[in-house]
Amino acid sequence: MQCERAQEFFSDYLERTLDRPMTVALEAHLAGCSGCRAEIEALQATWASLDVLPEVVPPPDGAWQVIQQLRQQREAQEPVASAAARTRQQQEWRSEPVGVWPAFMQWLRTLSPASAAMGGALATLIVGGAFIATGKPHIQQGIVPAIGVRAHQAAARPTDRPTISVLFGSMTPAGQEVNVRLTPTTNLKDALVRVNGGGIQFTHAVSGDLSGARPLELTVPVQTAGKQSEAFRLSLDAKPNGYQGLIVVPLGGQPEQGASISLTVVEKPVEEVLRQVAPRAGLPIVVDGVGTGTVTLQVAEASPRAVLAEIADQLQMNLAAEGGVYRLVAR
Amino acid sequence: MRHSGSGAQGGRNGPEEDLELIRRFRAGDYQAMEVLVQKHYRTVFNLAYRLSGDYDDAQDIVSEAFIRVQNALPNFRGDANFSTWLYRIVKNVFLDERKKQRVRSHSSLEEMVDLDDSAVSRQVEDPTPGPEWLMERNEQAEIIQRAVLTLPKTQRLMIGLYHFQHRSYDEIAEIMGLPIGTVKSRLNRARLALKSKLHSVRELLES
Repeated sequence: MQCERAQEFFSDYLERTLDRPMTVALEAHLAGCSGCRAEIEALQATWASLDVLPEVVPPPDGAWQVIQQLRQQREAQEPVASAAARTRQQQEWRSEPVGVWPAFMQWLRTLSPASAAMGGALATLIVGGAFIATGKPHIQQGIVPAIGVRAHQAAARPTDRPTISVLFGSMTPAGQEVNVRLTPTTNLKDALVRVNGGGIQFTHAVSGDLSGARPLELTVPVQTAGKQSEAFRLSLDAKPNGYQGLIVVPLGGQPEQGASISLTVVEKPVEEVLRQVAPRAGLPIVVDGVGTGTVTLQVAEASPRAVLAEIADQLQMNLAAEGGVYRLVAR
Repeated sequence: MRHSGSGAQGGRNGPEEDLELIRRFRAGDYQAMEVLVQKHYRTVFNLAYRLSGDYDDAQDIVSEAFIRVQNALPNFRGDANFSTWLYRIVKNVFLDERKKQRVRSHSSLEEMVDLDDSAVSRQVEDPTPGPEWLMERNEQAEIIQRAVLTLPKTQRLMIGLYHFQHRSYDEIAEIMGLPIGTVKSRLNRARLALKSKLHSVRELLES
């Protein structure tokens, strides 16, 4: 057997799927060919390396981004007249959902009637930068809830319904209430803003077992009276449950290629600084304990991690990276 | 070493759950599609990343694949396992993908072989920015990943499906639309090509 021919059977031999006559022939060749013996050993090592390549951690909001695109595709393909019909259909859906969606689906149904009744001129909502949740989410089993805001720009059709999606992480205990307050920016302070047919603040009880690994998403239909928005800042207050902290979550997709930070601030509150850092960092930033204090920074083209390490040092905290978030923890 | 198939996801009720979600989606329950995404996203992303070597490209591949899934789901006959059908779409997206214009510096493995030890460690460091702990910490894994990226696309796919997704030869043949004998011989060639590239670098790192 020639070496080139022998190599064709290497994989089958290592998998022990080679028939007996061929196995004998190959082993006879290997016994007399040190080159092929070395080759098959190297192949075995390569194979072993391939099989244990570590799993890559995808972006924490990656699945959510895909879901948003799917929704946009459906809405783009859907005739306007059937949008209300779809809303009614979602309300009538009675099947048992899979996994951790029960509470979310129940809540979504309560949104639909009010939002479906909204009419009139709708503004385009654009949410930019980072938003801050000065809340008291509960940490359970070391998992930190990640809270983010996503919004998409409504299409030009005046009957489109703009939405702001509030993405909650899981691991909140059953029965926790969540207050969501929508804070318009300056050019909208005299505009009428309605959320879910009511005022700019609403409370919703999050119940059921939300301990799965999937994020829970609450979509909040928002209507304004014809004014163009710049940014909406969402403040999230959860009922106290033993945790105090600050969570800053970047909006939008992945950080830019070559993301680096140049920043000069003098004695600024840490939450203000983190709001500038978060979009470049691309991941939620959690500050354990009382997230107050001021920071002075002067950095140029520094990595997000280096900037956060400097902030942590000034607050006399440690910086950790786990579960797809940056965490500043007390020393 | 042999893989019995059914990939890296789904579990005992994986295929049945998928079919139920598809049934619901066809009945107008769009949330079912979103549950499908949540269920399969991580493993599809992992394959896409191993095939492309780039975080953003991987996300693009995953997004495009699920968009095609949503469009084609009304025509899914159910005669194939949904997971197999999904990965057939992922394969098509990957093979269709055009190279994007990105400014990136890559070190070839051939350059690595010629450099001294200290230079190898500098070259191995990936200059592509991104959250550090989401990139490869394991230097060996980084080298393997780069070696995989040097393979032709079809070989890369089959290496990915077999070694990263743990698909069986039968499943890979179905996903690739190739006879099983062709899959086996191409996989063998891909492994040998990888082995050649990695062998020299491994010797250098171990010395």
